Amino acid sequence: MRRRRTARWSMRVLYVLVFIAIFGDFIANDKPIWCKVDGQQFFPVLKQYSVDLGLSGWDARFLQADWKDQPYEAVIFPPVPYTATGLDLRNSNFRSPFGKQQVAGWRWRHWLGTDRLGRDVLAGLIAGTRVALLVGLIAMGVAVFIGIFMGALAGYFGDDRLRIRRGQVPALLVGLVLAVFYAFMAPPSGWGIGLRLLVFFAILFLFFSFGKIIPGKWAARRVFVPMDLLVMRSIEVFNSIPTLLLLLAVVAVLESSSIFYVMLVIGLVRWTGIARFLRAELMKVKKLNYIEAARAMGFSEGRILFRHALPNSLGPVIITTAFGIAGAILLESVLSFLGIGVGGNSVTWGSMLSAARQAPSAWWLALFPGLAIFVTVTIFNLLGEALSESV
Amino acid sequence: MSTLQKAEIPNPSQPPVPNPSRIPIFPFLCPYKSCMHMLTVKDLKVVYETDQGLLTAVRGLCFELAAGEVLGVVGESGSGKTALSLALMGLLPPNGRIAGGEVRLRKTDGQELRVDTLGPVARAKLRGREMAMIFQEPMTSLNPVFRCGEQVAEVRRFHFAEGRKVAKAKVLELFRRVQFDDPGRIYRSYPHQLSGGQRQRVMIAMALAGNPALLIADEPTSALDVTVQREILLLLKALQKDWKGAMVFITHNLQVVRQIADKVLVMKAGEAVEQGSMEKVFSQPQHPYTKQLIADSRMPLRKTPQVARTQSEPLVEARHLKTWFPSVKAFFGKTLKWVKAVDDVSISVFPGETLGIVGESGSGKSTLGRSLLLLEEPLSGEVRYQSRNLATLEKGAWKKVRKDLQIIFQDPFASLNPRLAAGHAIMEPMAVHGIFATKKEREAEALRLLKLVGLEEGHFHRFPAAFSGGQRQRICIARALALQPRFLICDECVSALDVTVQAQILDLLMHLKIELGLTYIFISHDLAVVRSISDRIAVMKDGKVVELGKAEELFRNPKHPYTKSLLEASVAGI
Repeated sequence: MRRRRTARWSMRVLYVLVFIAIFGDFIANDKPIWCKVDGQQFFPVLKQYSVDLGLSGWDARFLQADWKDQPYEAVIFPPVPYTATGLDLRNSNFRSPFGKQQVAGWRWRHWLGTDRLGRDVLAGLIAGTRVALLVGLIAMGVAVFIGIFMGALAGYFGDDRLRIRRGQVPALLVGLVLAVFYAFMAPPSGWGIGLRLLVFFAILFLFFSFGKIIPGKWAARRVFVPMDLLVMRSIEVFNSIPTLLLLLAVVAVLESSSIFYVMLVIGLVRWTGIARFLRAELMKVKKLNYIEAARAMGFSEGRILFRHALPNSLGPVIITTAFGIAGAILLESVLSFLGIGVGGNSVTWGSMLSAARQAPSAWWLALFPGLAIFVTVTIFNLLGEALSESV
Repeated sequence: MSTLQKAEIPNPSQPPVPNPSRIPIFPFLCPYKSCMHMLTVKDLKVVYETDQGLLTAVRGLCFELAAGEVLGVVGESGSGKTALSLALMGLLPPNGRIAGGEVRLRKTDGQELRVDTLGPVARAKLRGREMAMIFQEPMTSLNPVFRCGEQVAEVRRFHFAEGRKVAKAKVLELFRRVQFDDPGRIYRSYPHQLSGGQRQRVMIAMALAGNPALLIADEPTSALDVTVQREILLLLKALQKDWKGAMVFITHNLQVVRQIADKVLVMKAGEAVEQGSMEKVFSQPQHPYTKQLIADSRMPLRKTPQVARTQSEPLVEARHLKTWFPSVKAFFGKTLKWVKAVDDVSISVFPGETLGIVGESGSGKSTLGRSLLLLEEPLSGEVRYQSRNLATLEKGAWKKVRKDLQIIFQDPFASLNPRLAAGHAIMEPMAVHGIFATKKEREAEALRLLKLVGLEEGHFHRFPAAFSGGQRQRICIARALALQPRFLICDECVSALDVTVQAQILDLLMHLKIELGLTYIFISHDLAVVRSISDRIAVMKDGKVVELGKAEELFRNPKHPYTKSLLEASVAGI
């Protein structure tokens, strides 16, 4: 009962975080949500989106002066009238939340203080929420995708369920070498990752099909593919890569340091846990009678796997994902604390923490982002625990 | 026996009493009662707190047990038998509690103690010393990392503060009492080195180690093979003679109760519907439920009229079938040792007949069934269906044959996909094999099948979790029938069900056989069930068919010594 209550509260906090992540621009922004100038109505926050997409430009009058100094007839500012990256030069150099601030009134106060450049901490926290949740979601999305694929292969097929012609084995090996060459080494650097993957799998498929028509008695014999062995060994390889070092290496190679590459790499490293859990669960489920009944009724392997075995084995995957999101958010904070991955002008919880390092007396720079990380990671862990009890 | 009859007082919650003159006027002042009874249970009520509210598992239960008496508690699953035993032991789960009534136990020193009001610490002290329990599953009730002897010695050392040597001597003595020939070896063995029957005997020794006043045996023989079952029952009976405690023996099997109990308590939905001495309950059952139970356990013959079958072509035939599993492998995957689950078996099944396959667990009967459908790939030999070798069929032809050969499994809880509603589970195979063109027709057919197996239209959209074991088994049958099969393997398909449900499912199977002209292979360890349904019977042992013959002949005149011992051991008393 107590567990259920904590889970319910974690869910509520999560809803609030998701709300902040989605509507962050309407909560903290230096532009008004709505304003009336010279009898004309404007929605600058909404307009920002279309300007960012290049669909329209700003009215000339707004470019001439700061948003706060426009001659409004009526105006509604967001609750926090600052952006995360906006500099308030009058309040630069670490203004404390309780100290004296040079602002026009309580409405313009920096409630959680400012950093060296006069950026508002509260606005930074709100912008950081979006980054943190996105990192958790995308990194684990990638991890879940790869993890389910690999775990399903290993758990369902094991070492003695998937059979191919022996002729396909050398064909596949040759295909693999060629596919790696033509998809990743030979093509010009202009190719996107999607195109490269397409070429890679196309070549593999071509050689796989070619293997079917290799004649001869030797090639025609059917052999087992030790799927479990292959997947487990690759899991061991991935587990032996230190994530942080890999990330440092990747970031050093990439010209543009983007948060999305960080998410991708976290996902590429974190799939192993999901694959292992799914494999164990599938090994249990595939021995159950309803799977055997499905085979007796002549269902295809794909149908059994996707309709009968997988849906009944996803419980542990969901639990690991909840814990994994917490881990990914923490890892991203560590990285941006070290200054890796995030660009110079984006604000994340980790980068705010690292700002605190320069001025230990500015406690608000350490406390509030630290609390935000703590709360987010904790609720995902609590959710994971609650899930593991209910599954 | 005489004390028994005298001690018998009517249950206040049970209005129908056959002989009113036998009711004592002041039951609580009854002279022979207070001094004799080891266990007195009065108006016991056990409740569980669940999400749906308070659930009463046991209500208004009254009984007394004298020294040396055995009370057999009979009832179907969910009747509150286990809740009763847990309540007596004080082992109810955190959401369960005794909500009323009283339980009194006379300790071995003669002192009477009210047990249900004791605190958890005091109760824990009683367990193992004054009351002990034998569980159903001998595989999991012993700790696998300790030697058997040490586990039993622990009871002596804990409750009697005996030294290591004294305790060991006592345990060896106990092992001799539970009829181990070589107590020293058993003392040194780990649980996995012993067979199921041996483990259960270690459990019995452990239960007796504290010399308890009350022994509760919760289905102690249900997980064992018939021959072992008999051995354990005989042992318990022999022990009962020189040990002056009371025993509560819980089981769903009436025949077992008949062998061991002095008194019988029939439970249904948490209440005692009938109680009394064993002879009386069995010879003159009062309550309709008891009558039903006794009738169902007798297993009437359910045979279809015999047709001259053996002359015709066999429908399914196995020739020198071998299904071996590798047990020891060399480093490079070469198999060094095999488990010969099915070893050179040749059988044929003729159209319209029911072939029963009996054998103990591990005899390979299930593997044979699965090998016939090529769910398990045989190492050698061939399976023929209508004179066509299944292993050499092309993919398309194999898919067509596949739907003619279907199987129903033992465990109704594991044979349905928990995420598929009953109706959809039945429709899916039809869709895969394209049996009806449109979804509408398949839906109509699924509804027809549901009705055919005795379910209702309203069950179409329900998920497996909402069904009872018997209902699930009906869904499994409907799902198998959806493919319009000609040959059905029933792999222990009624073993997990209660007797009344068992009888219903067997009737359904026979009814379907006549209506649809099916051919069955019926695999079971229960001789009574196999006898009631089969035309011919094959007896399996260690992967081989040791005897095969017409059902009645085989029962009347068994030829192979193994068949003889199996028939003797069968507690069903055939």
